[in-house]
Parts: sequence; C-alpha cells; structure tokens
Amino acid sequence: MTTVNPARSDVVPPAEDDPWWAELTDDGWAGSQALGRLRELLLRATRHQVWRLRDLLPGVGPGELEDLAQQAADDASMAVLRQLATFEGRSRFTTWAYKFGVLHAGVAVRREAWRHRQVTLSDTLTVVDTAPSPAALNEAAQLARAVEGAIDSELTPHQRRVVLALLVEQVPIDVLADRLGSTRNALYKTLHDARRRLRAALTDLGYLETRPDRSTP
Amino acid sequence: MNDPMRGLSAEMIDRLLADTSPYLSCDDCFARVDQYVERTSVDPHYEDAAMAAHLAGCDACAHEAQTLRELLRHDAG
Repeated sequence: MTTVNPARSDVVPPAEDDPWWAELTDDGWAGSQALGRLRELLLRATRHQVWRLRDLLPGVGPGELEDLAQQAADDASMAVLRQLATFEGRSRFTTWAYKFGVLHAGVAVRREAWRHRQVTLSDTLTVVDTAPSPAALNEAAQLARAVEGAIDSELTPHQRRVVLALLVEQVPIDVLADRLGSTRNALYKTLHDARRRLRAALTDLGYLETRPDRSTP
Repeated sequence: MNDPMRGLSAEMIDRLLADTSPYLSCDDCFARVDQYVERTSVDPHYEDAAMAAHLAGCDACAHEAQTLRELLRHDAG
C-alpha cells in the first residue's frame, strides 16, 4: 500500500515549467498526457498537505490518509481545469496548480477531523473567577478583562459567535462555514470587522497605542 | 471542545487583537498566494502588506501558504 508520507512518495517532483499545461484543453493524446501530469502534480501537493495535517486525524491509518489525498487530488484537478483560463503566468504553473491541491487537501482533512464533533455557537464569554487575586491585579489580567468586556459590549451577537468559535473554540474556518451555510470569505470579513472593533475599544481604553490607519493599501 | 466559560489566554488575546488591516479576503489571498510565496522565497525583503496581514490573521490561509512554501523548497531540492 502506498502511504502519504511525502518523503516516500512515488510522485516525482515536477521539472522546470514548460508549456505542457497548455495541452490540458486538448481532446487528444497530448491532452490525456497533460491531464495525467496535472494529476501527479496535484497528488504530490495533496499528499504533502494531508501528511502535514495528519495529527488532526489521530487513529486514521495510512490507507485512509491516502484515500483523502487521492480524493482531494481529484477535486483539485477539477478545480484547476475550471480555473485554467484565469492562469496569468504571474507564478510558475506548478506553483499555481499546487495551491489548489493544498486547499482541497486542507479542507478535506479539517472536515474529516470535525465530522463527528459538535460546533457550539456561543455568544457569551463568562469569566469564572471574579474574586480579586494578586494575578487579577497585574496588567495581563486587566487586559484580559478589558478584552472580555469589549467582546461583550462592542460586538454584534453574530460577530461574537464567529469570533468565539474561530478564535476561542478554534473551529477551523471552513468547517464553521460548512456548519453555518456560509463561506470562508464571509466569516473572515466578520472576524476582520470584529477585530477592528475590539482594537478600537482597547485603544480608547488605553491598552493599545493609536496606530496609523492601515485600512488602505 | 474547549469550555467557553473561562478566561482568555495571552495567545487568544493576541489572536483577538491582531491587526488585519489592510483587509484582504480569503479569495483574494488564494488568488495571490502562489505569487507571494514564490517572491518571498527568493526575496525575504519582498513586501505585500495585505497578504502579510491576512496570513497573520487567518490560520487556514497561513497553513496553506506554509505548505506551498514547503513544496517549493522540496522541489528546489
């Protein structure tokens, strides 16, 4: 059985780019050859990513990991073919194609890791220990309290749920998008806006220094 | 599953207060990550503020960029 350990992969690293990928739309033998080459390239990327993330899947054996890599390579191949017309040559084709393999393998592993796990969407973060203590008097503890207060007062309920799920519960963003029927883009925008609100609140309270607006490139 | 009913760690506070401006969407990051990784691989001083901010604030995209960097490094031998 082939394992997904990239160090033992039977997929040969790609040579320097040549225009082979231009044959991907060819209906004949050349196109078939190019598709095979693309599939090999993507399998190299998906095996690498699956192997890299294997600790997220304790108890999953090499055969199942290989299945994940193979399926992700299939999905990535379809994605590359769909997006082929958008390749502008700003990077090597192999690098451009690799990113589809990396994306699909990462999503597949994270989805599998969370398949049987419940995602609890909480919009409250409550501090258990409210008794004064030496630790509560130090600067770090005060900052923590200020951040917790800002989460409660400055964020919308939706922002709170997304922020707490992504950053406190550490639910992967694509898993949360699946569960909410949302997209990675939309959740990241929510997170970005929430962070801006939190930073503004903490700046007003004197915990953060005022920084130049970096909102425009 | 972590218990949300407890205080924030220093690491969580850093992640909550990360400055992710200028804004870049995950889709835009994906569109640029191949070029970004290639350029930063050959020129450590290459700068793309929006990409750097996004990768600092999005774990999934950051992991994908790192994997891409590793693949290029392995290909280079």
